[in-house]
Amino acid sequence: MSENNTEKQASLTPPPVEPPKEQTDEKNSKKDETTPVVADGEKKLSNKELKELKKQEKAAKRAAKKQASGISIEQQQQQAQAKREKKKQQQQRELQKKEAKLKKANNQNTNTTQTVKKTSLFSHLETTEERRASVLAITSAVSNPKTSRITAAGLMIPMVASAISGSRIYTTSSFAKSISTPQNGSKSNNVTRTSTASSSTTQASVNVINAAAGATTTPTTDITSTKDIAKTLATISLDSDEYAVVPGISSIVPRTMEQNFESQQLISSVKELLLNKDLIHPAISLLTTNIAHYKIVGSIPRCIAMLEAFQIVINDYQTPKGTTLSRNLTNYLSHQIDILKKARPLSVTMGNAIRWLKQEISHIDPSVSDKVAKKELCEMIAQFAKEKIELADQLIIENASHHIEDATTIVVYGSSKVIADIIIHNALTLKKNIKVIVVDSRPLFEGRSMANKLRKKGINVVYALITSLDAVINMNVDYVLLGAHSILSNGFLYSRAGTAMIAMSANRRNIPVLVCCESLKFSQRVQLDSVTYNELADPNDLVSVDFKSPVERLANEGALLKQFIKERKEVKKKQEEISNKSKGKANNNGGKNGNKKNDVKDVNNNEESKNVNVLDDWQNLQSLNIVNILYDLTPPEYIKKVITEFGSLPPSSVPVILREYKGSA
Amino acid sequence: MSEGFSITKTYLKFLEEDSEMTMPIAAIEALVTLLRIKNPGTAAEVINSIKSAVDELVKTIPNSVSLRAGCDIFMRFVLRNLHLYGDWESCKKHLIENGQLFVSRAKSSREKIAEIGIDFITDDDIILVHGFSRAVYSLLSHAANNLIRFRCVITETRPSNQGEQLYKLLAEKGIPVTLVVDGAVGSIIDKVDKVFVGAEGVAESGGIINVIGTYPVGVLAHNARKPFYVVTESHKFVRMFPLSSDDLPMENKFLDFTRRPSDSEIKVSGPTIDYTSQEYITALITDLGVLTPSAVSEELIKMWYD
Repeated sequence: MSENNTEKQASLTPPPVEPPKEQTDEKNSKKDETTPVVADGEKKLSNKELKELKKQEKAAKRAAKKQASGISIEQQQQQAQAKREKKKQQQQRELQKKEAKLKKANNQNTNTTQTVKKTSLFSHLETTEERRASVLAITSAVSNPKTSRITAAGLMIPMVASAISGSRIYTTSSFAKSISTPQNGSKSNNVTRTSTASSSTTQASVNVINAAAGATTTPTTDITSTKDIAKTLATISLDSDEYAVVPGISSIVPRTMEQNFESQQLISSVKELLLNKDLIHPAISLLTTNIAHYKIVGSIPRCIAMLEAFQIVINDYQTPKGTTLSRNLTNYLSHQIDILKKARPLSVTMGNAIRWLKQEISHIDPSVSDKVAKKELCEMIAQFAKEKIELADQLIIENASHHIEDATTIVVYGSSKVIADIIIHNALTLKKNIKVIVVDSRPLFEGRSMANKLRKKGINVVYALITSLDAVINMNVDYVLLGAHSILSNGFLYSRAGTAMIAMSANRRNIPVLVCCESLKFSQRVQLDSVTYNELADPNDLVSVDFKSPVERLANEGALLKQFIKERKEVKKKQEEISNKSKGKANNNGGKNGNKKNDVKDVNNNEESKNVNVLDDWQNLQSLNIVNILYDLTPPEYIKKVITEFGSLPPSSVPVILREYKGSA
Repeated sequence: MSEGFSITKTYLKFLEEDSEMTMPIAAIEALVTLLRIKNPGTAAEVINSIKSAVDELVKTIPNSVSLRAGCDIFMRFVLRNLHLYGDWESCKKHLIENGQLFVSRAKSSREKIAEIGIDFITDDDIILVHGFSRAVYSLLSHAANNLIRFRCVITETRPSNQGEQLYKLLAEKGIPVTLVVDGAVGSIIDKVDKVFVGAEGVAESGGIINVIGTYPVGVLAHNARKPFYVVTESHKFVRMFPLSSDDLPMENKFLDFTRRPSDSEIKVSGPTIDYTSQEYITALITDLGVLTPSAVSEELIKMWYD
């Protein structure tokens, strides 16, 4: 049961088969065994020892009495010994019961604090974990039931299933590597696992994993073979008798979610979605996964992708009998939108487009035949996208070009298509001598693609991180050009986190801040701080310093996998400790103290030996929270003007545009 | 006859003939005259001829800001009417008639401003005025007519010396008035209760384009926390959005550092208009009512897209 082995075992378990519920159980139990609970038990024990001492005193008195009544000391001692042993057993049993109870209580505690770890400030926002779980639940329910059956053990199988279906390519080398580790290692691990014997389901999962490893004896490195593994995994999970396949998805999925997530609202919404899962169009579920995995990013690309998906949906739509298209289609689309919402909160552009589309649908004359209406709608959607995005962008470029003089230095932040186009247009078509400073930030590093895009066109680019903003702003900057996610009714700019910093520093030096955005991004909402409404990104992005773009990383699900492997390792370690401890318990009572000390030492050693990343273990650190928010708000006083397809406006004019255009838009 | 027609000459003639006429109105009048003389046959021809005339005007007249406002309004008016009237003849008639209406309406708008703005002047006020503006004058004279007792400080407004012009007019009205040099604004601003200026154009942001020196007065007033009112007609609202005075279309924009022989006369150069951004402006007193700077954009948007 060497350290080496356990590690191998940990890396051996691919995520898909791991039941999340199980995992949390284990985590909890390991938690029990570590610090707080044990300390509690210790206290109680010492109390009991005190009591015992008292009782012994009493017993001595009693013995004296009994001796007086004529029973021999030996007999008395024997009796007393028997009694004591009985009591000890009883006490031990009680102790065990109590511990079990505590464990349970702790389970609940840790469930709320650990798996749904949120900062109190942002607790009203959906975390990525929650979003991923719900997307997983839904997509798994929607996609082919044969390959993606939801098992009692967990939800992870559909991930594998989707890898098979080819919609995503599994490129995580760790996955392949873990499978290709020698078999004997896994066998020995199997033994260890059975000896620890935490629960039957884990065993089952381990069996499945081992079977999978056995099935793919050849070491695999390339993608296709990983796919094969995924396939075998999926089929094994179906064939395996131990692997209980439970019908009634709607009952199982929320149950596992309930255990992991606290929010009732989330669970009920997922349940509701699952009830309506038959209505979900495959194009939408594909889009949902794409958005959820940050394959499609940016409010405009997301909006375009959504409109395209809607075109497919509308094309495939059949009006049920007894209702009209104009009434039923909006309803049908609402179901699709509900799912899209689960991937990521809808962008403002999407919201605006949806509002427009629904209005258009409701205006359709019921006497028009479905075929004609559907065709018309699709055409209208195409026109909407062209008008509101493509042509609007051209107008914005034209408008903004008036402001860019020859020989200027422009600061841009992150990545924005319109801004890149403006700069390229001015530099190449209008032959202006432009220097661009691309300011970028962790963890998304969107500026890199921007810098690359401009550089390829032969534009002079300086790349800097936002940490060096002060120096950047001092570099004779003429303008700051910013993109937007949205502009709110009170003129606040809602954009990628970090934008406010740029705008404020620029304003301090009297550098005009120009925001370029389509009027489609204007929002009716009013918001005064970036806490009330925001989007939480994966906190794990901030944990590891990785030169790969997290977007890429997320796209191939590496982050999830890594996290999983890490968790597995920890679980293994903790379990080992537990088994050690139980052995220690069996040996002698007094040994408990020493054992505990050892444990503490172990923990210390671990922390010292790790020495890698303090944040790695943040999920288990009670007083540590990580916030990774995606957007921030820039107050209007820092924005000189907003360049839209309607021309240049002060930020205060956003509500006017919304009001004036409500009818015509 | 149409060959001999020059839009610039017509424009200048209108300005000369009627001292009460402002630049945007003169531009509109000139464009109406153009339509009447050229008598274009199709809608496209109308648009084209107006466009080329506007371009010519903007090019030939050195200070084109407020003129552009008038052209914008007329263009908008033409476009909308071409849309409304299917029949070309009636449309043309309507255009010319209403062109005239513009002019008469513009003149009456100053009276309206005086009515609205009178509440801003109270007894014992000392009012600082920079530059000469017909709207400001009509407001001040209206207040004097209503027996409000106030005093005026007028800046010289170099190099155009507009201040003298206003000084004479106010003195005629019997208003206590004094003339100071432009550089004295800083030292007298504390004694002053409010500042009134006119505008050549009001930009989309609510900032104003006005005779040179307005910006420093605005900054000083802002610094001394004195209200800074802009008195202007709404037809001077222009679809421009300068970020600073640099962005304005004007001559002498760039500082001239060329060496001259030492015995030559010293020449004063530099811009003749400047841009005062909206944060220095307390309110705009217009014929549409008293507006905050941000309401200008709203009015412009309404004017252009309804």
